[in-house]
Amino acid sequence: MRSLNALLRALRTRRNKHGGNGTIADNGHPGLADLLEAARAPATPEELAGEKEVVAAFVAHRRRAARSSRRHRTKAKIRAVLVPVTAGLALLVFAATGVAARTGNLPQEAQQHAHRLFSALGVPAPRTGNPVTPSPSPTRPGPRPSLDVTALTWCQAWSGPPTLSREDRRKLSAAAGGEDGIEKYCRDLHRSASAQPPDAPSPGPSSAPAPSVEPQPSGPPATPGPAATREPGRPTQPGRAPTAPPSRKPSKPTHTGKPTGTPDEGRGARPHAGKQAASPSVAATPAAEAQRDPHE
Amino acid sequence: MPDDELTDALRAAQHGDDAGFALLWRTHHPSVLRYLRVVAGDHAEDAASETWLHVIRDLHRFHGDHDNFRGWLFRIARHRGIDEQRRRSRTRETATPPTRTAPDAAAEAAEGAATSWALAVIADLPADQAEAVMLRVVIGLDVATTAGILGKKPGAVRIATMRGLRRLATHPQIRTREGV
Repeated sequence: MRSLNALLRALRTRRNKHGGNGTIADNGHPGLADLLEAARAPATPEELAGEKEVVAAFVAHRRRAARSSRRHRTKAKIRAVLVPVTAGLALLVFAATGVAARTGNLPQEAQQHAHRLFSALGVPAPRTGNPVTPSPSPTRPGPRPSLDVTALTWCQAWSGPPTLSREDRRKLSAAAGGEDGIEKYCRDLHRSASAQPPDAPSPGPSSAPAPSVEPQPSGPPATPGPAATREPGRPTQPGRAPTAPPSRKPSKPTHTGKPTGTPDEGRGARPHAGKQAASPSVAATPAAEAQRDPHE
Repeated sequence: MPDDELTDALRAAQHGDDAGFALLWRTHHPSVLRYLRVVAGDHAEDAASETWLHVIRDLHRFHGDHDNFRGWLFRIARHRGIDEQRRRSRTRETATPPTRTAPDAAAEAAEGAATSWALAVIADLPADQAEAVMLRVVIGLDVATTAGILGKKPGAVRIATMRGLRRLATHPQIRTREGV
């Protein structure tokens, strides 16, 4: 009787609570109703024991999320400032380089690069190699550019196994006044080079043998126009100026493409050449490299 | 507990109110825990903790009212329960079957013990029937929500529930109880 009452009570409460569900569950089966009732019993204290921990985890997570979102916002703000500033700086540097290249205020190397870079953008190169002259003359007063070392390397290449490039061969034959004259020209050159050491104790007068080259019929082509423009910039050896221009002038048109490169490179190799002229084969390699570089 | 109130609590919790979250937890944690006893057996406590941590983490992304929340909560609970079960059975080959916890019908005296016994009997059912009975009949979710949680068609949920209840009715321990 007691169990019947309990069953009825259980059925009633379940119907009230769950409406349609009760019809499946009841099934006129008291044991089943009891079981379901037990499974649905109100929460026990043990089941609700962990509330504090869970709520603490909730609060901690909210705090962490708030902090990270604040950090995120700060980062976004920094990015918002940094990006335009960096872009502006980059633009400024680029524009300044362009202007400097336009006015010819860059160092030699940079000037070359800048020309290549900005010519695509329509910025014309400066008219002459003028910017080149001031920089080398104060730093390197001694060496004078001349053909001999360059020509020596050509002669080496011409006679030896490292074959002479067509361009250099053309220049050599031009310097020697024709293909037939090359041999004699080189012989003279070697002689004058081996005679150089007593004449050239220091890099300064190292260009002493230069006159022996210059009288050649068609002048040295490897030191084109800019060499002439540089002459006014060297007051230390004024006597040389008159002789150089006439012999060099004729070759100028062939080098208009890169007026500033060749003489500078050639000059760069000179200080070594003056000291090592006794063994031209040593001086040949760096000089040859320096010579060929700007043409590539 | 009226649904409106719980929906308000849900909104509050989503905006970071710990009182709202505590109310949600008090309302649902017992059901989650009991459902997980059926799904994950002895690992129900761990699985329930994982479930609530997941809820805390993703609550701000949840959209919907309190009914949707229940469905979402039990879907998370189911996945965590299955994960937990899989993890334990991998680490410990001799995982004890959930039936072990089924106490004798005569031994149950306190209310909690009766609940444990009932859950153990339900857990004895085939898994799909046990879950359907828990979600549909014990926890009282509607067919559509239950189907969404279990990843089944509503018809399949109905059939599983019916079969589960029928099977429970023929359970020897229930028969014994009937005779008491």
